[in-house]
Amino acid sequence: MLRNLASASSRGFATAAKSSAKNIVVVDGIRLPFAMQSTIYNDLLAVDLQRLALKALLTKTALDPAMVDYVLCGTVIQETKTSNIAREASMGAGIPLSVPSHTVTQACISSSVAICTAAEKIMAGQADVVIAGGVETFSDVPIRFSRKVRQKLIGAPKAMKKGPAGIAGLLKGLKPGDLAPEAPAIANYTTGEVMGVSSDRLSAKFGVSREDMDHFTVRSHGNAAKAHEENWYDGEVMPFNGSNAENGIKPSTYEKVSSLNPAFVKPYGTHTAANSSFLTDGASASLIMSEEKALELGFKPKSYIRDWAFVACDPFEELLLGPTYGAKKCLDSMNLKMEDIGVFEIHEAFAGQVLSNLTAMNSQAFADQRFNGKKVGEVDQSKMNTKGGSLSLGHPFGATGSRLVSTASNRLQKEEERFALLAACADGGLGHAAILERYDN
Amino acid sequence: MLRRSISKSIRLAASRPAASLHASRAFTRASYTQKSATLIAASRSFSAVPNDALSKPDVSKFFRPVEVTPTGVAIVRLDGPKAMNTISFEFSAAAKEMWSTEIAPRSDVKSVVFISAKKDNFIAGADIQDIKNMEDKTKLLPIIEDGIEFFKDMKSKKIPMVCAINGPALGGGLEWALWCDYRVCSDSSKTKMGLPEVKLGLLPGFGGTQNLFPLIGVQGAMDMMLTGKDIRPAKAKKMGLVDLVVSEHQLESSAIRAAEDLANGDIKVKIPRKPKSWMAWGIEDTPPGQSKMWETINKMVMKNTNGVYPAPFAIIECVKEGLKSSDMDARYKFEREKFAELAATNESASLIGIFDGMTALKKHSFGEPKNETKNVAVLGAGLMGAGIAQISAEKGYRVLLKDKTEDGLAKGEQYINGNWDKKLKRKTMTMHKHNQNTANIVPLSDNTESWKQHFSQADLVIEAVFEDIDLKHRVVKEIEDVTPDHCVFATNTSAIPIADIAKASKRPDQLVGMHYFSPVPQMPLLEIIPHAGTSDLTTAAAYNVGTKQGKTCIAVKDVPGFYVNRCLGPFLVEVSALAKDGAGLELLDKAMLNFGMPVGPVTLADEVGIDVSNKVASFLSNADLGVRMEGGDISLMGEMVEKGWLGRKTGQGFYTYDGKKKTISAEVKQYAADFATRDLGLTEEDVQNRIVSRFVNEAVMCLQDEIIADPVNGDIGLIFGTGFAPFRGGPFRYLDTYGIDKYVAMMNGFAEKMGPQFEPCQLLKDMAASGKKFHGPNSASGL
Repeated sequence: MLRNLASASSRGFATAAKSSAKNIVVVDGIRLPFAMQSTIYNDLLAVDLQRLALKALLTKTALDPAMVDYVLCGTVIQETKTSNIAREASMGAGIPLSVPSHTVTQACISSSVAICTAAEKIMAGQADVVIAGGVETFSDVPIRFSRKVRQKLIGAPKAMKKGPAGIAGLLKGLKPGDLAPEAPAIANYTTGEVMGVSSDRLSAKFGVSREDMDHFTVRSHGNAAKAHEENWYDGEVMPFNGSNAENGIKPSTYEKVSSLNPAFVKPYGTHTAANSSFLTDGASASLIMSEEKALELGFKPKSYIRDWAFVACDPFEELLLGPTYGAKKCLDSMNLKMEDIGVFEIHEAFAGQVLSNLTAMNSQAFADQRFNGKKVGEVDQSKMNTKGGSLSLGHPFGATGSRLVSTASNRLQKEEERFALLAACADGGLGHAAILERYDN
Repeated sequence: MLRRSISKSIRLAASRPAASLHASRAFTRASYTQKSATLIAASRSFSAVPNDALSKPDVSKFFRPVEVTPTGVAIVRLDGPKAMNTISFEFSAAAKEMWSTEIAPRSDVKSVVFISAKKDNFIAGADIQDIKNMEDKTKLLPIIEDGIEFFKDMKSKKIPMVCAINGPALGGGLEWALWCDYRVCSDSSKTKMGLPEVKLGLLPGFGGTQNLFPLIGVQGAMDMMLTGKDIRPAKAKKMGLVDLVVSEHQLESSAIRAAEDLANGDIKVKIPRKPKSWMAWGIEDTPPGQSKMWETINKMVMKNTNGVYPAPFAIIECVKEGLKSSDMDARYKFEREKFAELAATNESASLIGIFDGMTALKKHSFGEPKNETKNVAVLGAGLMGAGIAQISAEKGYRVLLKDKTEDGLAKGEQYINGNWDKKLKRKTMTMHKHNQNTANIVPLSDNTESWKQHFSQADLVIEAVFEDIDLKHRVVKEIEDVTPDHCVFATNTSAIPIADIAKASKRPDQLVGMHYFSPVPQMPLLEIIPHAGTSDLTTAAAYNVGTKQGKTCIAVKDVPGFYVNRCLGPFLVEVSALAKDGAGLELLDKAMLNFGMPVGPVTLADEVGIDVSNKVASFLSNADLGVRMEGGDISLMGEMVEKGWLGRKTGQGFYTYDGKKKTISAEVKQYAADFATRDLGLTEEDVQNRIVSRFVNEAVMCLQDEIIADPVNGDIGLIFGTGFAPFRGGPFRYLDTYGIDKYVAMMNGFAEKMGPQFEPCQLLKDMAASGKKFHGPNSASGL
């Protein structure tokens, strides 16, 4: 009865196009504890982390692995040995070999894409039960030879056939500096700009102060620490080696945080090691189903995925402003106002980036410029990231999107709110937003 | 370097383990695990005796009609009447007939390919029943000679012979392949090659000791023949044992191509296949290298077997003879004479007995349960529980591993993953298999909301929680509430009567004991203990799971100590009695080592833990064994527990463990001296006889009281459960060999001098009087 009411009420908000499609539900979602680079996951490959996350989800939900129709995983920095990491992780997690899987990548919203692709697959009638997750490890990244050396190595077999002269030719033109290895940088390929620099500039543009950022940072760590202290994350963060502690959470004081030097724009920038998210290892997984199938299998879903948007903006000027555009699109399409939202989960790449987006959403000037004068609205910060965010929990690029969905779904259930708005920025000027609705069991 | 290159690989069959509790780890690894059960397919009924060879052999019973390709390749397909091809006397005769009628006379045959028509085996080995059933082993000589003549006959046609191997090619099967000029094998996971004869106290008698070492070098050959280990395709290619590895589907076509190419000279092969490394040359082909090599090999054999098995030494002699002499006929003669000698030894009879026993115990007569067990739940992720979970997951069961806390669970998972990581590192497990195994384990704690949902799928639950009757009762009730009606509840206890545990059950007919030995992954035995109310199908389900887990199961009556620990009770008491009579700790260990136990009793107590041993001893002292637990003073260990000398785990037990060496400290020496009340000046033999007689008597007592079903169960139980000297074949075979009447007389003598604890049991007395034996056609039980 309740369920009928719920879907009736939601139908009121749904657009015509979507009302005829299947309802998509989040049955459950988990993550392995997010951990600072080179700590607890030092000896594991990304594929191992993802495998363990998939397995933990199966354990948690008691879903028969043979029921899975499809597996989707997001990841950003690819290990070439496991370029379709979803497939390797799926097989390693005991999901039948007959279940297909693919890997998606869209920078920091990769697992958001995985989840939304799952939803689209279900709506298209291609699947009913999809596991969507994501993974990142910074404990092992592909560090390569320089391009020069790579060219020489690729040409080597041919050159070797020419004998000593060929070998000599191979070495010709190589400078000692060419032998230095190349590590992947967190910079945009097109703009060549490091993300911290972009965010620093964006914050300046929207007038976000260092002080605001540092306060926001302290708040994030405080929220995360409190949530863990209260065991709020039990059942969402699955234990690794017996513990679900997340070691990047460092409750601190404003004084301490504010004493750090800028890390990107020196010497007068605002972004520091504290108010930027840190390099994180982690994996997550969500179980997405059609509502019908979930009920048939006896599950009690946590939320509906009602709407989602992927947007893109100018990476030179507004690299990390995607959340604003995404939120606008979703709210408009669902005919919702900010006040209708009870749970906000917004990815914290940098404190400055979040605050810039919040400012943009509530700025009349910005609205006049971009949205025909209609503001996105004011985010009630007391409802935002109340269990911590990427600044404190950590941000394994490929895994964060699924974390947002799990935490938002659990918050909707525990806080008895109706709608959740998720938003995240991603490299390349990309952005994502989604609206979840509580599932009434 | 030399030492390492030889010793790293040589681990002998029936070898002596460094340190395991009941300590048959290494002997498990190398010798009688279920693996070897498939090595030599036995169990063919004894049908062909040499006399049958007089009548014309039936070629079509063992071979498909020979096909000859237009290019002159004769394809010989082996296809015996059983699922596995084996070399029996009858088969040999048929092979000879096949060659002389279908190949030898044909001039259009330019080359030969031998291949099996079976889907998954080439030749699994020689038929040991033929050998076993031959009373006078010297009669084997002409039969083997006949076989060698057959191979020589084939060789004399001087056309290339190619062997195509898919599945096992073991023992005589590999020896056949070695007579060929070229070997192709498939890369299937079923394909393995080896000479496991040593595990049965024998040697490769069809030219194997002479034909293998020239091909792959002496070191590799000794490793294969002394350990009997399986060689997988990739390794076989690397060491030159095979020339080509291809997929199963390309095996025949590749073998035919190779045969053609060999015949027309496009392929030329050399022996040895690969130029020897300088290192190998120095070791194998120079007199100083050789002498050092043999010294090392001998040392390894002694270290691993204590020199009690004749087979390894015979194999060494054969190879030495082979290196010395160039007269092939003499060498093969030497080999077969050694073979016949070995076949006549008690050691070989014992090992074959164990092998047959293992094969027999794979089956049971409790019926077939309606539900196939797919999901096994294990309660408690301690050492025991984790071990049980590990072996279950490895065999493909989905394992619900449940512990109270996340922490306990994590420790159990780490133990399991640690064991698998080691296998991964040693390349005995692939990454995919590793991941599959890991995926098979579903870790659940009280915090996992869904644990009851998972348990609603359990087919068999094995509890390995703390030994406390109230706790076990609680667990039984809690679990029966959430498991399906058909679910079997197995309890892994060593001290609590199963019937007592069943009192808490609402389905007592579905409750059974499964007594594992620690460390579970290494110990090959499992005692299955139905209580009086257990249904046969429940026992069957437990037995099936145990067998699939790779354990050899024996069904045992629900009595204190069940079978193995019950026998160990009097054993432990006698150790304390001997200490009282002035036997030093070192003497106790040395005597039992020399008897053939894998570790001495003092070391064993340290390894198991003095507290645990003491608990077992005092538990049995208070049980129903009466006078049979008397004559000693187990306060020997009781006081050590008080002192905190708990054995290896605390660094101090009887021995002091300080780094690598273990020593007996002055303090312990004094303690033992104070404990002794007299010094009888006991010899090694006294110690052996006093301990073993009480041990063995208890085993016979168990048979008398129907705690075990028969002597086979009894032998296997003590060999696999305590490491009872495998070359003696177990307590019952040992008594048979020793002479039961002589043994009874000895025990009576002890009883007179030292008390009624030595009195032989009624069954022993009866058998001494009747002159019957436990095993063999003249046995009391007819087994």
